[in-house]
Amino acid sequence: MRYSTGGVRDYIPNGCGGPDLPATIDEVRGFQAWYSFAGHTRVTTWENGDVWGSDFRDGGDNDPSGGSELPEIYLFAGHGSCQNPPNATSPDFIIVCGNFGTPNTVNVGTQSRWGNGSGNLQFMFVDASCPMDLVSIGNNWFPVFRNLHMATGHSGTSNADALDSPDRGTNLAARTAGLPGILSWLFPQQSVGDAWMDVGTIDIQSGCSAVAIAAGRTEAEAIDRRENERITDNRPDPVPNWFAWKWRTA
Amino acid sequence: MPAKPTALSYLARVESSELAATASRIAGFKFRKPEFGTAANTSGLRDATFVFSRRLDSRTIFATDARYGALGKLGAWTGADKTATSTCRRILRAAKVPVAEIAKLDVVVEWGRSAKRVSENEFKFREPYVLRKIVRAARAVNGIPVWKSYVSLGLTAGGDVGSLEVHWPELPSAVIKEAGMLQTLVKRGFRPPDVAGARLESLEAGILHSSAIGFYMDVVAAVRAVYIGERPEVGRKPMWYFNRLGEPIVMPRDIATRAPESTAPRAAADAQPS
Repeated sequence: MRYSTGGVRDYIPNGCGGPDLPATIDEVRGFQAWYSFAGHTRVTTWENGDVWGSDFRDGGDNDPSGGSELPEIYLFAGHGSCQNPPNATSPDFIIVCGNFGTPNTVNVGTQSRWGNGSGNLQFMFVDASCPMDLVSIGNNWFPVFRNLHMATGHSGTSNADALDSPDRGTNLAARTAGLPGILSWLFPQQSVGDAWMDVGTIDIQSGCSAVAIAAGRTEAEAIDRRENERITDNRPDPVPNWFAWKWRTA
Repeated sequence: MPAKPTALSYLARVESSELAATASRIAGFKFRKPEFGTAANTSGLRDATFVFSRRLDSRTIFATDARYGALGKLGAWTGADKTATSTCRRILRAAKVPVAEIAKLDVVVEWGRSAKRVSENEFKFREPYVLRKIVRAARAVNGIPVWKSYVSLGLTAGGDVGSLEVHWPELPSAVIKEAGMLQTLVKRGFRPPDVAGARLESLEAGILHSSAIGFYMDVVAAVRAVYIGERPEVGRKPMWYFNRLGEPIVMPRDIATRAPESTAPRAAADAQPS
């Protein structure tokens, strides 16, 4: 499998609203280390101003220099949006601070579409706090699934937020990559959904939830993907007739 | 590099029976014709049903029954919390986790839900349901939190161990002592550095160590400072770890990382700098 990462630490030095998030760089580099160790192929590993809003918007996401549709797997670590509290129509945002490809704010529900056209993305990992709010998951995340298999994120508020930590992305990689040789079973390889339930709840505040969502032609297929799909399964792309998601709250 | 056959044979002979006994005592697993494996800082046993492995450099255990899970043959526990926590206490004793270090034992509920696409913008939602309950143990030593230590236990529907992780590393006394010093400094008004665009939300002394899956076991005392941004609607709060002088600590490692190979800035073909 091919993977990319986008980690944004610098918001204030580049003139964007802050604060800066120093752990995002350790997080994406830890993710890269595990995935490369497992034999996956890195596509792009942009950091800071080289991560662009257009990378996550339909149309720009196929940019050969770093769009999120180039690989099968993408991890974003940076700021997101946290309404306080969100409602069913609240948008979810990914927030970058790019040198190009502005605007820096991406409305996931209206602007992101993954797996369509020539897009390759199967697994979208968002570690940006709240841009997967449970109350608005239908408006914001059902539409993005074209041939996308699964996505992960958080649901919360500004009082129930995710903290800047390298551990979620690094541990997600360690648990999903499928390590080589005997390590493949000495260290457990988990499904994407189970791994995110375990690691997505690391360093988050009480009331914040780790969320994993999958799509399928049938309800049974969507649920099976949510529970069992591993990045190494090589499953075919789903037809997004049904969505199944799960969450664990800290 | 894999162990040489002679070494592997010796290790298998020495460790297999002990691993099987430990798996039986802690998780209740009874192996049938298990395969022994060892690599890097781990060793373990597996058969068609069970996997039991442990780190050689830490009190860290992984145990899995392949039949466990919401869709698994043995299902997942959704019953009384008290039954699950009682089972966890028994396992903690069997794993030789010091009782005095168990700061909290609680049950986390994992929920599931599904929805059908009726049209492009219309969806029919089903009601949420409980997928499983997980017992989690948190750790503190002398009242000092050890942030990354945990026990996580998922039981089958019948109450047997389905998934167990124990990550409760031995801690150097010098680190515990320094954490106590940091706790005193926090009580006496330790002031962490300011973070641009944010204000301090909370401050706590504790102990940080490497993750359960990894090739290092670093342990360090630190003051953890959580900040909230000036625009609270922007999510992911800054969190820094400082030493006694208010300097950022070197974070515990899990795997060797490296900087990107190219440091040349990304160029846009058709875009103007923003």
